[in-house]
This record gives sequence, structure tokens and C-alpha cells, in this order.
Amino acid sequence: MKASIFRFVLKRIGLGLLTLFIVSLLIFAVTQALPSDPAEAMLGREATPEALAALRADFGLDKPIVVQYGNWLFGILGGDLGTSYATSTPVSEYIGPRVGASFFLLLIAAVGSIPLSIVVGANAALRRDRKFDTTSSLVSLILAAMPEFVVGTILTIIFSTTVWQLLPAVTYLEVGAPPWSDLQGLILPVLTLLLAVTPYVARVMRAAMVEVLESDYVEMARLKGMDERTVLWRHAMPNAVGPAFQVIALNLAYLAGGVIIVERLFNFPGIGSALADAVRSRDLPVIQFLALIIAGVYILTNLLADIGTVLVTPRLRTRLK
Amino acid sequence: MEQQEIETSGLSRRHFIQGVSSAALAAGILSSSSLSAFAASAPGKKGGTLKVGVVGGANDLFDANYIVAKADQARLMSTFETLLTFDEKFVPVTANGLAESAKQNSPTKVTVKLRKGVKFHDGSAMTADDVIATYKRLLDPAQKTTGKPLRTFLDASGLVKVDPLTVEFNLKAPNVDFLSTLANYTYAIAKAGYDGKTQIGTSGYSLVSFTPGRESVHKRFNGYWDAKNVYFDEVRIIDFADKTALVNALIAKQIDIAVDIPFEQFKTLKSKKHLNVIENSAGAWLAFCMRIDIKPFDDNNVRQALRLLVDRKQMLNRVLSGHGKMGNDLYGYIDANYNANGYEQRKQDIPAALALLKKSGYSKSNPLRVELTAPDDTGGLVLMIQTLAEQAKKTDGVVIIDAKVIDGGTYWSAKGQYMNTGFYTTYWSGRTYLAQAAASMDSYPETKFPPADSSFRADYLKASGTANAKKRREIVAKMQKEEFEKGGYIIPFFNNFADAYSTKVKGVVARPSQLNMDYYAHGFKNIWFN
Repeated sequence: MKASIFRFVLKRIGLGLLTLFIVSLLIFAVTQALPSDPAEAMLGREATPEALAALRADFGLDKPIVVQYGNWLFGILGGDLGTSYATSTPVSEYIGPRVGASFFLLLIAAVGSIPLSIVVGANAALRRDRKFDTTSSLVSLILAAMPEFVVGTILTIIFSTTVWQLLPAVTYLEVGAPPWSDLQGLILPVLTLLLAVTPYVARVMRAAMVEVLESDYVEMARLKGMDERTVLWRHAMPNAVGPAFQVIALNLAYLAGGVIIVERLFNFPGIGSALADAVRSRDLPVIQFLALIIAGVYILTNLLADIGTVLVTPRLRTRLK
Repeated sequence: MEQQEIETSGLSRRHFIQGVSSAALAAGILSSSSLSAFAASAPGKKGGTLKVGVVGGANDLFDANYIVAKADQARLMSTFETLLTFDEKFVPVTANGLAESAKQNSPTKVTVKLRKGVKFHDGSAMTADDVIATYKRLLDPAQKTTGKPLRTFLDASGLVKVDPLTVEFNLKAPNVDFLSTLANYTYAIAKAGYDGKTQIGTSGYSLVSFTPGRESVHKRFNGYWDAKNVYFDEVRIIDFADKTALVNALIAKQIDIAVDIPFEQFKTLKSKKHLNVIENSAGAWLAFCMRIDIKPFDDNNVRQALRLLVDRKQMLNRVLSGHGKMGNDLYGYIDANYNANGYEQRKQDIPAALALLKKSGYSKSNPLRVELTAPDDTGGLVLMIQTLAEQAKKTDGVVIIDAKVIDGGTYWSAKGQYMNTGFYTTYWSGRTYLAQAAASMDSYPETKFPPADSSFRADYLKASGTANAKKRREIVAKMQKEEFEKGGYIIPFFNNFADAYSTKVKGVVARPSQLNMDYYAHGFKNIWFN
């Protein structure tokens, strides 16, 4: 049993790595195919053929594409992420603190949203068609229909600019300071992300719970005379949480990319704003590394969700032989 | 004789100057004594950290002699100083500059005496050697600087150190307005040996740290020559990816100054009790460029017809919410010789445009179909091309404009739409007429004007060397006539720009200036917290 789970996890990790490799090929091909090369984007109005050639040689853009890819991939594997074209500093130095800051933001959003959405969804299912259910359904439907930047803008208007001036409108981190050094400034971005993710998960959780509560085994448990709490936590919840895990994973993965807009809105110094910036300036090493990270988050969260689903769902767990 | 002519040149700016320093200028001499009015401002309180928000990103750069975006301007101005600066009439003066006096001895010779006791941030004294090294850097084509227009008039051999605090500029071509060149904010003085990497200037604040896309930190420099006018302990220039976040941060009191606010927000910000807004008109302009060597724009009928197609008033209202002045396809708004021929305001005249097009064989069945592009990264340009495309519909299908928005990285690149296609858009900050003519001919030949058979270039050199104001105006008028009748620019308006700041910040001067916040308060000096 344990060995079979271990085998399953290994297999999934292997598949994840293979996916990541294919993604790296795609990222490289797509970014290299962007119109106008970074040397041109950097020099802009000042470009002369000599300056362009010199800069291209500097960036290694004059080498064959396969060599460029090889250098890049082995560089990353060896911990050398290359040099940002725009800032002329090592990518690790430029992006490192931003990766940390973004993950911190995502972590709080995840830690907050997962229990919240499960509790809201499960409660709505338990009180099906009653006031809590209808209200939470309506609210989550409205929130789910709004893009993050609208949610974020409304929160800013309410809490920091127009209605009240209670909270900072942007996150201000001094260079070198950890992301938790401006906790007040984190409130609105975290809240925006929470409101972006929670409604989806809560809705899925509710649907799954409703289905489970109507199932034969829950009925059986109740008929056996088990108290409602045990029925709920021992029998219903594990089976309902499985599908929710998948949605949570998808949402968290989505957040890794969706955070771009939220970061921009709150001037948060994370990977999202860096990526938008890098695309503009054709800063290929930065774009490629960030795309790889975001793809990695996708793959990792899906992997964890799959493993989690299998572990919490008795049916699936027993099928692993 | 020459000296006499320069006196006239000084007086020619009379309707420009009106009072204050005209006497000093009339003599062609600038001295700090004429500027005592500035120094007499009420003394403020020392201390505090000034937080300045500006739109910037990973492309931020830091250089005494080169900028791309406003964030770069703010940092340059915080760290470096020029020999001269411009007053509100765009007359070069010594206030906030490193020159004690500057004198145009003849159309080919300028002598600059430096202030005594000016120190670089590393404690070393600033001398003539540093000034010469800076101008040599500007003259060096291998260096990435804004020095190109300088090279028409000056060679490195013309830079002469008379004594440790006196520099002579011996020009190779006559230029009676060379003092204005010395006030160009990107011609800031760096320490001899400057490589563009270590930022050691002479300003009131020395650089502590700079992280592109994030912020730069500047602390008060105690050895500053004008120390009494430097108030803050620290200045932080903070990058914003987006103007909305910038404005929000100001409203939420997280920053003290928001540089370059969007006009849509102007009224909102103005209505806030804790904020002040200043608006500045200094002849900056946005334009459509038609390359006179690319079909169909090589046909002057087409160029003139397109100029007549523009409803400038509507464009001004739509693009700038009215925050600007209508243009007449002529640049150099801040110049005393702007529109020297007194042309009437060009208005939309569809029948006249159609008549011109008919001459060139365009009709409803053979329409003039052109593509017009704008980059997505420069405020206003996108709205401009869309408005023009819409206005062209009034020709009932004779002129069809396909407005295309291009990603900025592509647009400005060496093979991009900018400068390589027939019909596209551009932006400029305010310059005097001849300075702009030079920039548009040589630095950025956007329209490829003038054509080979034109006397425009010869006229330009003649005007630059003509000290007699009346004669000079005549030559400029001739140049403007040629541009008005055959040029490649459509200049619908001159755009203002605006900044907002906390009422906590005192001493801010609202007057015409080329840069935001009155030249970023000349490096954030002269302003303080109350």
C-alpha cells in the first residue's frame, strides 16, 4: 500500500519533469520568435547597426538557436539564470527577491482561501436552500464574475482612496526588506486574491458536498445512528474535498499568473510586475525564467492536488495496488 | 561690433523677459546677482524623507547625459547639475547652475566662470577639467548620450581651460544662442573620468542606492555649495508600473509627490484637500510624422491635405481633455520667434483638402488609403491616431486611415514603424525653434525634411550664426514658411503636463518649465515639509 503510493508519486513527479522540459522548449521557441529583438528594444531611437551587432554579441544572440537553448537550459540547471538585458544584473539577483515576495503573497492568499472556501462551501451545502446558502451563492457568483482588477480597484476605492483612507493603496517594500515588512500594505492585495479564488472553490465544494450528502453511504451512516458530526467529518467531507482540491490547485496555479494584474494594481514588487516589464523590454532571460517558474507552479500544484485527492479519497486510495 | 549685436540679441527676447533680469541679459552676461529674488525665498524647515513617485520599470537608467523616461529625468536631476538653467521665460540663467557667470563673447566664443567651492559627492572639488571632460563625453559619438546636436557647433579641440575655474567654448560654427545649450538638462556635469556607472554629481543629494524598477535613495550632501536650500534628509524616487497605482499612492498619503499625473485624474486630485496640482505648459508636443520621401507622402498635396483634415480643437479635447494649446504644424512654442509669420490657426477644411487631393488624382473611386501607427506605451498617441482616422471619415471615403496600435518595443525598434514608415507618430519636449530644427533634421530625422533642393539647412546655419535679432527672425520666418507649406509634421497641439503633491510640501514653484515639478525642484532642493 505505502509502496504503491510512493510509486504513484514518483511516476507523477517524472511526468511533471517531462512536462516542464517540454514547456521549456516551448518558452524558448516562443520568446525567441517575438518580433523585434531585445537589442533593438533596448537601443530604441539610438540604434545604429554597429551598436546593435555589439549588443547582440553581448547577449549571445548571434549564436545558433540550438546553442542558445542549450546554454540557457544548462545554465538554469547549474543555477546560472543569465543576465537581465534591461537591468544588466544577474537574473537571480533581480528576480530572486521578487520570487520570494510573490510566493509570500500567494502563500497567504492560499492559506486564507483554502479553509475559508471549504467552510463556506460545506456550510452552504449543509444549509441547502436556506438563507446562508442563497446569500453565499449570490455573493460568490458576483465575485466570480468580476475580474481581479475590478475587485482590487473597488477595494482600493473603499478602503484607501475615496471612501475611507484606512489602508495603504500600494505595497511599499524597501529594497532588501522582506515582504512581511509592510503587512498593512499586504492587506488589500491579499484580500483581492482571496476574493478572486474563494468563490470558485466554495462553489465546487458546495456542489461536491451536496452530492455526497445525498449519497448512499452517508444515508447508511445516518441510518446506523451515527451522530451528524461524525457523518459529516468522517464520511462526507473526505469525499467532497477531493474535487475541491483539484479546483484549489487550478486556482492557485492560475494565481501565479493572475497575480500579474494584482501586483500591477498595488505596485507590488513581485514576479508579476517584473514579467510585464520584461515582455515590454524584450528582456528574454527574465521572461524565460519567469515563464518557467509559473509553469513550474502549475505543474507542482496540480501534482500536489492529484496526490492529495488520491490520499483523501478512500475509493481512489484503495485502487492503488 | 559683435558685442553690440549680442546686446540686440538679448533685447530681442524682451517680450519674453519683461523686467527682472533683462538688464543682465541685455549685456549678454549672466550673473548670480540678478537671481537674488530666488535665493530670498522663505527659509523652510529641515528634515524628513521625501517620497517621489514616478512611472518606471526595469528599463530605468541612470546617467548624467542620457535619459529615456521620466524616472531617469528625476534621478538625473537629483544627482547632477548643469552649468546654466532656464528661467520661466526659457532664458538661460545661473540660478541653480554651476556657472557663476557665462558670457557669449562672440557668435563663436563663450566663456564660463565656475562657482567657487563646488564639491562632488566624493568630496573632490569641481573644476574646469570636469566640465571639459563632460563636454568631451557629450561630443564622443561612441558614448550613448544626447550630445549629438552639440557636434554641429563644437569639437573637443574647442574646449579650453583658461584657469581652474574658467572654461572657453570655441565654436566651429557660429551659434549666438549657445548659452541655451549649456542649460540643456542632460548636459549635466559629472566628475572627470565618469563612465556612466558610478553616479557622482554635485547636487544637494548624493546617491545611496539605485534598484531599477524599484527605487533610488538619495541622502543630503553636506558639502553642497547651496546647502541652505536643501531641506530633506533623504529623497526616495519610487517606481510605479502604472499611473493608477501612482495616483492611488498619493491619495493614500504613501508618497508626497506624484510625477506626471494623467489629465483624467486632474480634477479629482485638485479637489482633494490634502493635495495640490500644478500644470505646466512648456511647448511639449505630440505629432503625426509624414516622411516626405515615401509614397504617397512625397506628394505635397497629400501632406497639406492631411494637415487640413485635422480638427485640432476636437483632438485637443479628446486626447488631452483640453490641457494644451492648439498647434499650427510649427514647433518651438517657447521661442520668441514661434510662428514668426503670424499664420492664422489652421482649421479643419474638408473642401480644401479634397481639392488638393483631386489635383493628385484621388477620389472616392481611387481613395487615398494610408496606414497610421502609434506605440502603445506613450500616452495620447493611440487616441490621436484613432481620432484622426475618425476625422478622415468626413472626406466621405476619399481618405481612409487605418489606425494601428503597435507594441512599444516593436514600434521604437531599429526596424520598427518609428522613422521607417510613411505615416506614424512621435512626441517631443519643448525646445526653442532652432534647437528643435536641429534635432528634427539630424538627431531624429523623422520626416526626412528638408528635401535635397531646399535651402532650409543653409538657413538654419545662417540663423544660428546671426546675432541681429531682426535679421535672425527673418531667416526663421523663411524656414517656418517652408515648413508650414511643405513640411512633414502635423502638429495638432502642444501638450501640458501636470504633477500632484501633498500640501505638506512647501516651496513648490509653479512656472513654465521643460520638466515636471519645475525641473524636479532642481534636484528636490528649494522645497521642504511644513
